[in-house]
Amino acid sequence: MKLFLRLLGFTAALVAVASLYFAPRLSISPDLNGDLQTASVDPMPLSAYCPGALAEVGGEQGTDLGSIDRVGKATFNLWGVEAEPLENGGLFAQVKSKDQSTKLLSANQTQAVSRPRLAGLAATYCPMPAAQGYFLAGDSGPGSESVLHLANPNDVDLVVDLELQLAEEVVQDRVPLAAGEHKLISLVSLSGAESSYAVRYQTSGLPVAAFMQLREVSGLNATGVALVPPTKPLVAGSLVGLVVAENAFVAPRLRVFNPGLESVDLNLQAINGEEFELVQIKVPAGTLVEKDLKLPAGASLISFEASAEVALSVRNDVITTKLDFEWLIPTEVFDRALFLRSPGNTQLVLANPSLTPIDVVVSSGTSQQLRLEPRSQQIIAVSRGELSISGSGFLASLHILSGAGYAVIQPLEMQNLGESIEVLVR
Amino acid sequence: MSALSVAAVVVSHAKPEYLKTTLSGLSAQSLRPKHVIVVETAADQLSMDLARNAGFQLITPGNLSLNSAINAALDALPKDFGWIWILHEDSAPELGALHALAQAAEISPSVAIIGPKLLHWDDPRRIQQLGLTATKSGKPFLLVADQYDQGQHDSIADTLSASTAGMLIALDAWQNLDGLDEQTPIYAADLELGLRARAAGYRVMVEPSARISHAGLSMSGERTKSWTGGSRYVARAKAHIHIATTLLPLPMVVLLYLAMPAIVLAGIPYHLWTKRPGRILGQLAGWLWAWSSVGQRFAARARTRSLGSLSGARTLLASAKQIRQRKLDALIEMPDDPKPLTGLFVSNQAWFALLPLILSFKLWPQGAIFSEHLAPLSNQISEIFASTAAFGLPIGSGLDAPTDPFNWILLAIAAISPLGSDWAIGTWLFIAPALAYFIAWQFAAAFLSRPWLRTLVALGYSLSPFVLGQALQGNLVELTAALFAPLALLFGYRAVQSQTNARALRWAGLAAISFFGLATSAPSLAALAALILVSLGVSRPRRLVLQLLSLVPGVLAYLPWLSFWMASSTPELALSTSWATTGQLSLELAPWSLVLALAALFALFGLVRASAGLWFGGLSVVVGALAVAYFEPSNASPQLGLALLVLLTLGASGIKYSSKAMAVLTAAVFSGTVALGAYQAWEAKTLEVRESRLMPALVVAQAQANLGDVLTLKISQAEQIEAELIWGDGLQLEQRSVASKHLQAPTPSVEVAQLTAALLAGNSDGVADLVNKLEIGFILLNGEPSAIAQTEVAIGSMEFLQPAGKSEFGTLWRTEVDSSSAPETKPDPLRQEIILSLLIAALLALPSPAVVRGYRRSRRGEE
Repeated sequence: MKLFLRLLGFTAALVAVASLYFAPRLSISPDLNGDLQTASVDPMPLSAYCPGALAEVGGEQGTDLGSIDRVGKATFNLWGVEAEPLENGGLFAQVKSKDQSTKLLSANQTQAVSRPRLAGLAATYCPMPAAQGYFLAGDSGPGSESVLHLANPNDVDLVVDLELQLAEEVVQDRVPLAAGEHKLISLVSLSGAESSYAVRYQTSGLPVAAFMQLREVSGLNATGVALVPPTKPLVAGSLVGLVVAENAFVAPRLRVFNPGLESVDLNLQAINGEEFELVQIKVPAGTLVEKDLKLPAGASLISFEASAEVALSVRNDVITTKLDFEWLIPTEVFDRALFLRSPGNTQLVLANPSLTPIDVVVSSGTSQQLRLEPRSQQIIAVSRGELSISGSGFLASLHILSGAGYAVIQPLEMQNLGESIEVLVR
Repeated sequence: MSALSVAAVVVSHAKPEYLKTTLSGLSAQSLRPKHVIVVETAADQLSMDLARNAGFQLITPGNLSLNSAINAALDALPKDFGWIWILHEDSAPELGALHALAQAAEISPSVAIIGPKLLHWDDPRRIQQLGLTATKSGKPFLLVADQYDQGQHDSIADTLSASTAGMLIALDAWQNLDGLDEQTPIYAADLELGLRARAAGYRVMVEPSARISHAGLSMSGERTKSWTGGSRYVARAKAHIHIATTLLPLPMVVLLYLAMPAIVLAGIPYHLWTKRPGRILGQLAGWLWAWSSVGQRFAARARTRSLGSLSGARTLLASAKQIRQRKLDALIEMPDDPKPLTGLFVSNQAWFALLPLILSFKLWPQGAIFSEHLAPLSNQISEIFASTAAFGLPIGSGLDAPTDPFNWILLAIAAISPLGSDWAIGTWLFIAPALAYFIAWQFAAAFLSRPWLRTLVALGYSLSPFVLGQALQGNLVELTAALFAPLALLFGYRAVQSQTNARALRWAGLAAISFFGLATSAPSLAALAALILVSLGVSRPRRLVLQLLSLVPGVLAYLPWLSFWMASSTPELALSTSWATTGQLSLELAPWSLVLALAALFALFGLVRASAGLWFGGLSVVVGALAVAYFEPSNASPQLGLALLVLLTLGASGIKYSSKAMAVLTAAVFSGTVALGAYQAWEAKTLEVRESRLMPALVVAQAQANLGDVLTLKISQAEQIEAELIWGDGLQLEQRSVASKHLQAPTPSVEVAQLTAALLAGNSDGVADLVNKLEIGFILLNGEPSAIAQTEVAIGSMEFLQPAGKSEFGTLWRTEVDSSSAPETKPDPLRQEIILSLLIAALLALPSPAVVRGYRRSRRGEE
């Protein structure tokens, strides 16, 4: 009886506890998330700087030590404003407006050059000057030359700190820039004969325009030129415009730099239609890692995710009538229309890095509506002149392949903070 | 044979069981008194019958004082005797008592009062009293008290006074001295009689060969309060004051009366520590009585001193040596019990505490811990105290809400941390599982006799997900509640079980502190614990009041919190007492639910062997704890932990025999427990530890210089731009609150957003005005370097902002605003009361010599 009563008590306890399951539980309202406010102020004037004509180090023969001169003439393709090249060779355009976008100001430049030591097609989008940035394309190895274009479009002097991440050491330099000055700096004196290095620049205050010009020769033949805008470290992003030629003789080469203090795991996917390439790299802190990408011919959309911020660039070599190459960088997704003026012999590479299809309207003389399937890209031939792409969530680049050489223009959003800034006040 | 003519007066007050023995002893005296008269002041029929049957004269004059009763007897007797032998109903003389007293009376004509050797009623081998005197301060003092009678004090003769019980006094002396003073407190009456006799030139003696058994009903509190003039403690205090008034020089008496309030206040901690809270009321009542009857006291002094000088009497006061000896005698060592070998340390089970300590290796204290639920404490204890039981939070423009009740625990942790408050939380998390082992072991010891079973329970608890698991996750609040819950129940249970008041008071003090800790960390569990404590008190009504009092500090601390959230129409938030409380457990198959299910199965072992009380009581606690856990809106691990502890205790109580099967079972439970602990330790992520500063050094320094009156606008730039106004050196853990999570602090959001936008855009228009209007001293920009680089340039372009460097907190600029008025934090009105109640509990919890050394203060010895 005693045992039975105890067992009964135990069972009753179990039943009592189990029956709680049918009772509603008490819950606490979620934490307050702050007060979301929208504020608008007049943004800083929108500006763009194009580096202008390419530079040649050492004269035509390369024997004129210390000489660094511009050669030829760059073609500027401007949308929204008219601007004349500066005396220093560059082009600076500035517009003051609350409503800032590529429709207000969008510029790029191209230059075909054919000299004994400098030949190929160089093109770049002219982004807004920035206070800091990275170049991963540094190469001062045999047959290669890197020149840094640094321009101060402000009306005050400033100093730019340079930091070259070499294989064994970090080399630093400080470059004073007078107001309106554009300096051409051969990096060979800083990098030695290093064939792979990253360059970081940081101003003492106001933003500067910075570009890296790369030149290659093989024996007595010039084998390409490139003009690369700066990039910035990202945790995730995409790179569009990488088109591998059928006759590619060199695989695209990935460079990743980890500016942090701890190693970073990078997952990179290259999507080309049904083809899918996955690359996983561990990038030690403060190190530049290089890896060839085995990609099929055609356009590949590169998407990446990292455990912390990394800077990333991909080199693509092309052979037409000439050898030429280009360094591509990750670009931002456009959430609104993109406007630019297209040079000739151009193909527009549009990509959708998201998991949902998007519709865009491309206007280049005529308008056409396109549907971009998830994680896909399309190549469209566009004519010289005005080009606009309406839609949201797309990536775009201009692929230029001509007898003069090969170049890629990667447009960027043109906007300073100011309009409708959402601030969560806690 | 003595030729003394003696009238024996027996004063009785309705205690026939004692009167019978007294009258019997009186009848058998070798020297027969000339008259025997019984004065029954309560007109008790049984007592009157006893007097009549013994053949003694009986009068019933009504409910009179002792003096009046004796005088009534004298009036009723013929005036043919020279001595009065005063006997109380509870003082039974031995055969030759009167004879011995009479012989002493014949020693000298000046001898007027002779006192007997009073023996314990129940144990006549022990002396209860042998002469009365006073200390130099006037406190009544027994020359001999509670000692075995081995003739060691038989040489005593002259004393200051003697007890009226068994006193032989010359009739003329009685009449000259006017007997006992009616206005004198009962405990001082006989002492004052002796004083007056000495002042009048009479000699007062004791005669050790006159032996009388005395029950001491007055001193043991068995008389009514009206008889003694209040409780035992009150009567003693009155007697002390009365004798002091008579004995001390006049300036000292005046000083004494003036200093009485201070003396009462100063005595409170001592009386609490000695576990005699009754003396506090005694002294208080004595003080009020003395002030209200000051005229009577001084009249008594004048009457005594009018009889003659007291200087001769001073030589008979207790010496310092006698007082010291008396204190030592009062501590009677109880016979040594065989020392149990089942204690935590004696049985070497304490070594097992190393297991939870080792498995907490990832919590090795290294500095301030940062997590979603943890932030550093202020490094100033005073700042933590200012945020404890306070109202008003330094958030936005100031949030009118109370600070978290759990701040009491934070204050305590910081105060006892040997490495400073920076390390306090880390140290607490690290040692908590080992502490839980000790606590659970002592909890189990209340119900289990075998040390290894207690160890099994203690390990099961301390290595469970509810203790070790919580510690490894940095769940400070839940872990703290898991320590206090078993403690509150254990101490409450001990208080109820205690046989002596001193021990019960000490356990109650500890229970009060533990319950306070529980109420400020897990109020829902505290409510369950309160129910259990009150139930225990009801089961032993003598301790019910103690059980209720032990809830007071916890209730006082929780009450303002509860009322605030009730008034805010969100009473459910009152169940969460800390910003650091973690979220609700979801009902799922997880280590904690598996552990509970296995423990429920293990509890079945107690089905046959556990006592009925333990079984059904334990099951009730388990059901209660699980029910509270189910409805708990935040992390219910303390409730589940308590259920686990009780289930393990129930199961272990069923393991009685050391058989092979039981050995295998316990080994399996032990291994499983340790394996679970190791798994948790292995799986746990290391908590982030870094320097305790929450703001850049410059801001901290400015905050210290301005006593916190510094306001910083912190802008976090990522995908979402966030702006926050931060006072002083940042929101320390004690400044964060449940209220700050759920109530919107008044903040000038529009202005803050506008200022933030302007700073981000680099547009300096109106920025200076906004900075001045909001009284912002610093601007801190935080975010990934690449994300904020452009903003740094934008802000840096504003000339009126001075760059103040970069740090791990971001980039800092200083404005021209030096100081701004931080919102005020005011103490809660009940803070003093909470502190007072905790102090009382702490004093009660402090072991007194009698408690610690296993000594017991003899209550008999105090008479």
